[in-house]
Amino acid sequence: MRSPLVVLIVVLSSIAFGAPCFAEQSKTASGLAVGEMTPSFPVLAVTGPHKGKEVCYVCAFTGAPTIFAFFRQTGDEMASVARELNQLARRNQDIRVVAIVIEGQDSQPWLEKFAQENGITIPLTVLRNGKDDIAIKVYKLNANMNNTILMSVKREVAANLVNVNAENFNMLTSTVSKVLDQR
Amino acid sequence: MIARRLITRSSLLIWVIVCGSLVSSAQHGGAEPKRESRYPLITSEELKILIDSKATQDIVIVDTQPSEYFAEAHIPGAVSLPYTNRIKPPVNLPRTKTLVLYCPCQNEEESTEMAIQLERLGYSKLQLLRGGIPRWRELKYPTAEVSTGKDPTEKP
Repeated sequence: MRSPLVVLIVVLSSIAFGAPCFAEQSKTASGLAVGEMTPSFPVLAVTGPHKGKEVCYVCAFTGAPTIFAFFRQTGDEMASVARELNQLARRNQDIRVVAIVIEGQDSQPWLEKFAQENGITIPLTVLRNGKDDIAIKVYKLNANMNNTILMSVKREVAANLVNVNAENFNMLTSTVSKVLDQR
Repeated sequence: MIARRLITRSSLLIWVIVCGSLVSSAQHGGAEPKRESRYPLITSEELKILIDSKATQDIVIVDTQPSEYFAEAHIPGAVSLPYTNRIKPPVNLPRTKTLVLYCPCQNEEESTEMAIQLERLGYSKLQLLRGGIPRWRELKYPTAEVSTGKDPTEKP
């Protein structure tokens, strides 16, 4: 018979080591999981042909693998990743890329200037209601993450990456290649 | 007798609107660019007339947005049937009425997909709202929200 002391040690160990691991995981988790359906959500287009209009890119890009890059806010960190995403879209004509800023409509002037100065052709958009937008709940976004990048194929999440930056961007590039190969 | 007269009147109104829109689009392609659609399109303006004249007895407005968005804002009187790539029967919608489907899409992509599935399930009276709810909002038409424990309330 197992000693109660051993059982107690096992229980305490799992509380001591398991809980922080779980907490860490939930802190860095953001976005719909792989395999979940991508629901439609409207955004306000800041650049591109639909500038100033409410657009549902999930609906518009249904036929093509699409990257939805949700950014917490505008700034240098977003700029470096958005430039990479723009390059990625240029290299892969089969995919569509949309950048969505959670911060909301206040980001519009920055985004317009950024697109103009950097020749960004991917649509730059904002959530209509900022941090209160329903998309955050529907897409299970952790608004504290710098970014959450989801790749969708046929309305299903095929990849989910969090806190992508210019240094680890290769991670996204190789994920995209893998997903496209598996199609 | 009165009910019968009302039904006849509303049917006539729908018929006039549908014919009017067909003639109008044939003449000058409408205000918006002409698009091919598998199902008849109804404009926001036409739907608004039906709602305002309380002539919606023969139609059911079907909202295909995710339920969270439906709760936030939908066309008054609409019922929620969130988009899915496989509608599971039974569908709680009447077959005798015209279903007017709308989505949050500008080009009716989701409402078309839903209409295709409903057609496979035996629904034959299907129409799509041109431009979906974005166009409805663009025109600043009223939307309703779902408040917990309360009836849908209209807001301007």
